[in-house]
Amino acid sequence: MEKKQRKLINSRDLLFFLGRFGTIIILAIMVLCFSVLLPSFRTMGNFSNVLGQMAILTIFSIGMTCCLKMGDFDLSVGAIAAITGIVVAHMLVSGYNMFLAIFCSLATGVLVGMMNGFLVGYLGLQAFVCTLATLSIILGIGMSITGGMSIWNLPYGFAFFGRGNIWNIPNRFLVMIVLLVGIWYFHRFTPTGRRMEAIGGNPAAAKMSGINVDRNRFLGFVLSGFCSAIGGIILTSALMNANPMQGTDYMLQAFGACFIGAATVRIGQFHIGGTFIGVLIVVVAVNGLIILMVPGYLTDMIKGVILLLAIIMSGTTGKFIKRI
Amino acid sequence: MQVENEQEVILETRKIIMDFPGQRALEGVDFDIRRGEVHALIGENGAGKSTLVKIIAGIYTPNGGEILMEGKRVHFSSPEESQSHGLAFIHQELHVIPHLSVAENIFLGRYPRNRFGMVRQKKMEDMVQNIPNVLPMGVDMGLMANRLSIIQQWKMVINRALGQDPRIIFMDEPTSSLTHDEVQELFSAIQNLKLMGKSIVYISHRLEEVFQIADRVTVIKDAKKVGTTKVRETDMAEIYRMMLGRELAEAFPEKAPAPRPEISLSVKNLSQKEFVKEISFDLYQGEILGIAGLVGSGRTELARMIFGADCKRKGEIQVEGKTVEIRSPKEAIAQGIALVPEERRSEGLVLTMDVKQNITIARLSKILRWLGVPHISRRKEKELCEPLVQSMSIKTQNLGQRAEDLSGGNQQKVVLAKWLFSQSRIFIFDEPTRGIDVGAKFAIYELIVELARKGAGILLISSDLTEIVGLAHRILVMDQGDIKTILDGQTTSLSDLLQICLGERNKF
Repeated sequence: MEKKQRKLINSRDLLFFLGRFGTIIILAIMVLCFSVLLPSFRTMGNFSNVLGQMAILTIFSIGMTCCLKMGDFDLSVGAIAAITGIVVAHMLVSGYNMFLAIFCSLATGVLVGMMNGFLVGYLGLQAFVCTLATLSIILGIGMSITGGMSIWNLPYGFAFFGRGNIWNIPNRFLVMIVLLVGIWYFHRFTPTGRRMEAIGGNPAAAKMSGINVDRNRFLGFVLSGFCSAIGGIILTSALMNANPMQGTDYMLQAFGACFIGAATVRIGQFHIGGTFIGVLIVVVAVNGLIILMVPGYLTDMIKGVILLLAIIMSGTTGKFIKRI
Repeated sequence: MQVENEQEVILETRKIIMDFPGQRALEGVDFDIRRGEVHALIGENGAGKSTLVKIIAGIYTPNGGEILMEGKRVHFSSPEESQSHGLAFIHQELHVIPHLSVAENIFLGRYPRNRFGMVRQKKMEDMVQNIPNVLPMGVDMGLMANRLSIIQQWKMVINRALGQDPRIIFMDEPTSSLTHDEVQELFSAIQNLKLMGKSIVYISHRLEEVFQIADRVTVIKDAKKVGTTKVRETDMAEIYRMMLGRELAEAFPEKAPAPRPEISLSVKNLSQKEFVKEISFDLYQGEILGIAGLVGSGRTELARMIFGADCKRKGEIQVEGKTVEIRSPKEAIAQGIALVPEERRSEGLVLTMDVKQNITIARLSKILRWLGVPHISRRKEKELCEPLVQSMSIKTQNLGQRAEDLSGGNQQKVVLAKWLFSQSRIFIFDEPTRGIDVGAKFAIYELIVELARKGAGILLISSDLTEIVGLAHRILVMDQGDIKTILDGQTTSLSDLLQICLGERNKF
């Protein structure tokens, strides 16, 4: 490949380059344009705001990536975020210790992940439909706990995770960094991560190389549930209330981020680094649109368009990439 | 004889050249088809038979050469175009739509419609009778296609082809899924077509069928045409020599030394439904045990069963004298068993991962360091893979090259490197050289012999009988899930083995 580029930059190499780094270029152009055109975009306050917004979306997206990596969709991410938020809020207003509440909430997320993983990994049910079913079940449980209402009046100390700052850096951003680096390390340097990578590349060959495919897919859902739970707790802490619908808004954006990720550098593969780029693109785009005071329904439309473009560019489905 | 020579040539290819990335698939192939003949096109898997047919069909565009129809130069850029010139193609996978009726399948895509654009069901069923020379099927035209037997499906697909009034019908490996009686039924149908003046190109790698049905035979080997002869003027040995094209001794390394007395793998009464029936044998350390038999004789099932890839089985497996329970490939690998699968790209390698990752994937524990969590040491990975890649002379730019970008031979070496890395002691090779070019084949053979020399037990499954005769110490012939016989690899000649394998088929 190096030799080719030295000879001449032909159109195929250029296309190849654009295909791999296109999303990063788009991100750079977007940041540049907004910074030049919108004075309020380049303020410190907005920067901190973006970091905060980014945190929750990133946490959901990396959880999703853990499943997508092995070819499974987890649609229940938003619902897990809702139920874990409700669990932590409910326990707090009932007067339980904050750390116990958080622990139970995380356990709930992991439990739902285990359920998904069992159904998909071990029973071999289709992930897409299966997690859609769990989504509905969990939302129903959430509704019955809260009676469809929001839970308010959370103790003040709980706001630390979602609203607190250390030197102007939001705490939730720090949580995100820890999780991001942790999961990235897990995928890149641990044997289990390597095996997951192999399953994503070719499940049949992975099995024939002695990898327990079922167990790893199960694990993917557990990780996804765990990340969603952290996202749910931080979201509740940021809003200082919990309601059964709170996570659903992030679903679409998280999928968008994941698919943009699959269109970055390693085309057609979901990976944490790419997902992070995807999150940045989504967050910057949404932030810019808000500053431009684009009405909410248009923002929704644009989010949909971003998701669609990301799916096309990622080449994870369809014949688009092969045709190039 | 004279009359036949004067038969008119309908289609002719001249000096067809076809290049695939990194591999020449056809090298100047001449081929001609006369009116009313059955012309067999034979050769090993990957020799280029199907490529030639796909070029004639207009699926591939050749890199050189020309196609003539009745002396006029033609160029087909799509299957539709070749069809409109009177060529019909029946593929191995029959393209039967199971939930449509027989008539709908026959007129697929060309339904008669009324003025509202609705399909005229009854008219269509009547129209089947009006197809010139239609083969009688003896079933209701409104029957769903999934209720048909395989031979009826074949007749249906031939009728579909006849509906377009073709002049040449190409049949790709038509008998692979038929029973003996059905084969005879198909052959009589082919005879009928021939009498009607249709030409048939019959693609196969089964010699005995060629001798039964064909008028002429063209042998293709390693992308080149070896020759075309009249079937009446030749015999099986001659054709086989053409397919082989070389002396046995040159194509293989020196045989591995005699096996050691210690048993490596022993299976007892291994069975799986109707595919494998009560198979027992011992494999000694340092022995290459060839497994011959036709496709569908249970060879691959046996291999997968020993490797734990298919769970449902009965019987006992012993590794080095100890009875072991193998329920998954993972457990097989833990016992030191390795399978180099038939489907290299879909089961052997993770194509999106690089060379070193593919090598280490079956035994990651060797490259771990403990950093509070198990950590893959890239340095260790590189240090351990490099000598392996060098000693096997895997041609790769660097260890980080993706498996996808390697040639077939090198991919196969990477699969083997994976098992060497995980210190396997029993190797099962399933068609180890399929689709690999001649030069690389020899390198794979050398590696297999080297493994045996070091004391590994080796099961070598292959459709290429020369490979088995050339390498194996003992040869186990399988037929319909049974062991037919076990032969001594030193004394058995290729023609003996061929006779035994073919004999099985003619008998039933």
